Amino acid sequence: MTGSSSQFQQLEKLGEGTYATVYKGRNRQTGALVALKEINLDSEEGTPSTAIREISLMKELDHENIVTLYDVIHTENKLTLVFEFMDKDLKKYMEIHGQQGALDLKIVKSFMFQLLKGIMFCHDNRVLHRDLKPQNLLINNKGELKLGDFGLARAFGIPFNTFSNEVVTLWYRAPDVLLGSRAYTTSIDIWSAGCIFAEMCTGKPLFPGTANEDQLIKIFRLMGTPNERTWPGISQYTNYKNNWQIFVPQDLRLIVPNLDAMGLNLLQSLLQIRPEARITARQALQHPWFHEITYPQQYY
Amino acid sequence: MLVKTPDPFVSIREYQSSLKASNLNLQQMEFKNHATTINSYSFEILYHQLYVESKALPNLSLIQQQPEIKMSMRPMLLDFLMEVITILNLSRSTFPLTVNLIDRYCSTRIVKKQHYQLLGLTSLWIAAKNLDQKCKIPTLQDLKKICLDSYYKDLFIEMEKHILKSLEWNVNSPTVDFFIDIYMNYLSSFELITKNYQRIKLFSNYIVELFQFYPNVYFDYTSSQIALISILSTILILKIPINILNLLSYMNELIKSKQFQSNIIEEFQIDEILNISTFQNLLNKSFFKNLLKMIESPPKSLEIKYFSNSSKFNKLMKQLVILATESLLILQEPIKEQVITRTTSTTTTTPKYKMVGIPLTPISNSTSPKREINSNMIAKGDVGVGVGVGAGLVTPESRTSPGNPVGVGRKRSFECIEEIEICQSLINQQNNVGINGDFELKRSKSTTNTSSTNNMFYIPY
Repeated sequence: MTGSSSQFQQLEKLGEGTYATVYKGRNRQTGALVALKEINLDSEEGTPSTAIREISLMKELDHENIVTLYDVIHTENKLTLVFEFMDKDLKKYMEIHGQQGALDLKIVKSFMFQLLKGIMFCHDNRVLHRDLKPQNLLINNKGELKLGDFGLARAFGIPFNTFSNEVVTLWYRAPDVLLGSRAYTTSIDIWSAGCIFAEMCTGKPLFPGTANEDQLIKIFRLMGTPNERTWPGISQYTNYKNNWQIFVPQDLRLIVPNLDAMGLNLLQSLLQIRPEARITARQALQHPWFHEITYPQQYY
Repeated sequence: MLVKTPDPFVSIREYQSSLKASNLNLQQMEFKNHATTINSYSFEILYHQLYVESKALPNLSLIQQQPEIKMSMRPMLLDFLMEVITILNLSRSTFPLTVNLIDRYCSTRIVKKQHYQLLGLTSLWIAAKNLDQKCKIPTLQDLKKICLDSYYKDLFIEMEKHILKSLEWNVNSPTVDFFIDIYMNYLSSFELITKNYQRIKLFSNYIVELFQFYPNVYFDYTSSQIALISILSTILILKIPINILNLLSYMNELIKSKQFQSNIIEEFQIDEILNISTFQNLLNKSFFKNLLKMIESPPKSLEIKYFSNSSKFNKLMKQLVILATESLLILQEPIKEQVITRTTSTTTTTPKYKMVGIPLTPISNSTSPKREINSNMIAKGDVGVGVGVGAGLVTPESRTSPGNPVGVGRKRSFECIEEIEICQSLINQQNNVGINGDFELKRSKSTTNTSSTNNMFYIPY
């Protein structure tokens, strides 16, 4: 952790995050490519809390499905995080390699497996990612998928403090969070994983809502409108309304026609409306849909 | 004392959260859900936290090499920081994390006397940024005001950078209250503990906070151990009729279980949280005596936090303290056998079980079956101790300060309390400023001058 910014040559801009800009960079000595995440420092705020959390958490998380943080360069008015370089994010990958965005099922399976492994590792280490979306999943040319951008991640306790419900990009935000839950748990990352799963199969975002309320309606339209009977306690959430239009649950096959029955079953478990009914990452990895990966010998 | 945050939405958010908080049902439901979800991850989480903790330990002997910072200054700084944290209404974990950052920084860098408070406040800032809601994190302006403009704003920014760099950004080490939560979660399979859940949790958190003010206890054990020691002590002194040694071996068994051990990586091996004989040795007469002292005269900041009229814990805590004092008075009573063993070699271990046996007397009479279980436990422990002492965990001996004589099997207990007392009276004289008497260990000694005391912490030495 003793790098200086002159060590790296700044190349093209890769993207603009919530509180930072990411550039492609090259180590002048070794020629190796890196991703440079630059955070501007405010003279009043000091080091932003997001940066403190992201760095301290990422230093703890050493896993093949989580992007590696190599170095932190702290200068007068800038903080640069040096990450391992990944070729593209999942969104771009889908645009380039997918059929109108839709990926081959074999690739979907491999990506889902890696995504869930990364999530499980976070949860094992009491970290909630809280911002899973295709833009934050990075793919390299070996077909490896890694979780990136831990800017919104938090360590959780047992039990924990309540959190902000302004987390996760709207389209991937779990219904309990949309309803106003602030004591959410690991299940919010699982919901996002479910949305990403469907999106990889179809090439289109599953619930492209425009606002909180609209997002909920889009979810209900597919998963059915919950009520006290199907979800005891739901009426206590702050954003609950008793005049929602009533939808019956749809068959997911209509939305994701190319997915096999086993895959649909997994998708269904990831997208449970009630957080307590949602599958955990560990359970999901043992789902028969992944047996092809977990028990390869049976498939030869 | 503080400026209002410029954020105009604070009140709205506060309203929302209070609305949520008033809705007990929903909250219970969500916590229950969280608890069940967490259960499937609990071993992994515990192991990982123990691992992270092992990489973020302060080093007492290095701290003691500080040329300007004396150990006696530490409790005063912590008292001040605790008060700030209480006023700002920051999370429970913020204090222990702040303490960890201060001690670790002092284990790596030399700190000037006049910068000690700066280090403390900046550590608090980092801890709050890590753990607290955005709207509660103090601003630079707040920090400057809190220390009565003792430091320029730039100094905080610079200090923050120094701390982060020196600690290599490892500023998220697990806190002692986190361990209390996770242990309580495990222990709630015992009905008697579930029944007294809130009381045990509240009081062990209080003891743990007290411990942090006393370097000798605090540095002899890791946070994960201190958490367990205080839970077990709490169960003992609140007279909850469960054999605490059983609980300890239950916790250690969890660590030995296959499910836990399957997570272990070569770099960090662990097979128990706290050695049984280490714990037995700790629970002696002087431990209880000192615990009593600590509980009877807490630092001012903790008194405000727990016993002032504005504290939500006020009533319950007063009850618990009465209960604890009662049982500690009995526990610290010298017992004949003990006197005898004192005169014999310190390496003799047998009498120590007897002392462990003592705790149960106020709980059950000799006819109770519980008593018998206890004596069985004692007998079992007997076999273990001869071999067990010092094996396994990092024993306190290995981390003892150079200044302290270390006998075989002898524990440093609370001698330092006396040291603090002496140091404080010295500082009193030197500075000619009345230190708040709450810090001294005997109430009778406490000075009545409280108005000037408040300034004490604000003046850089």
